[in-house]
Amino acid sequence: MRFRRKSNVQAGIPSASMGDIAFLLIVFFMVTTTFSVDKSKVNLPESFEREATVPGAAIIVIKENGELLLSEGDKNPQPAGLNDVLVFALNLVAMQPQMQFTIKASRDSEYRYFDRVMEQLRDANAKNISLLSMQKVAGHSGRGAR
Amino acid sequence: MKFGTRLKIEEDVSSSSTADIAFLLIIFFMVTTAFGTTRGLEMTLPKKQKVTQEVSTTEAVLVEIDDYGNIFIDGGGVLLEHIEPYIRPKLARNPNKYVLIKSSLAAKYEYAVSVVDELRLSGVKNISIPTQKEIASWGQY
Repeated sequence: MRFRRKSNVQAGIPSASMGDIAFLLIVFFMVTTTFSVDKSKVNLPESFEREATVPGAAIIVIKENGELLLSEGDKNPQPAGLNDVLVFALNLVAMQPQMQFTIKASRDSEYRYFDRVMEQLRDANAKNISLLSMQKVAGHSGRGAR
Repeated sequence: MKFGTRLKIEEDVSSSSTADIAFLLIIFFMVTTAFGTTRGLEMTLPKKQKVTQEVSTTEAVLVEIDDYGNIFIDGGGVLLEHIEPYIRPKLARNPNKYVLIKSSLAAKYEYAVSVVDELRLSGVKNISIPTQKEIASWGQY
């Protein structure tokens, strides 16, 4: 009895296009990447309206318990006291009068911390302030004001 | 005379490691990417002047937020989505209408952001968030 010879066609997954796909993904991530100096995890409030913040802006992080972190924009945020914002802002405004300040406050933090920070920013003559938020989705009211 | 046969080695640039390098780069960018966390509500604070601009509280709309996130416009309790119908006719009469937001200190920060967002969507240009110190200086709240 004679068996048929096995076919010589080799089975394989073509991988020629893998590099192309990978490079496309690289381009995508390169375009969307923003190297943020601030890596603090804060549960941001939600809003429909959101505008892009200016890169290099000073960052004021208000954590849920009122803990404060300050960054001049090019360094890692450092822990600070609630009354340190004034000196911090005064120095920056003196160097750059149009300095942008980004407030990254936890949605669950008490309003009193935000109020205190705003008061000091106002005293320091800061003009441009941005309140970081997450995108609010229509129909999802979240846990916002009732 | 017999010439030696040439070796048939095909010249080719090795591309087998390209995908590996590319995937390493992808992982790097994926880890360092921060999507859309650098967006928010823009605010411009008024310039500090010796003679401060007086905003008459009778002309301005006052939005108050209590400890639990309940909203009161000019004294009356409303829901967040009812702010717009209340504000629109006032804005039609005066597009530069001032709206003051006064939040309780014990209220959550997100309530104030929701109200600012709602007012912006309603088309209010002049939103004022006075600090407690300013409110105290008015001496009428």
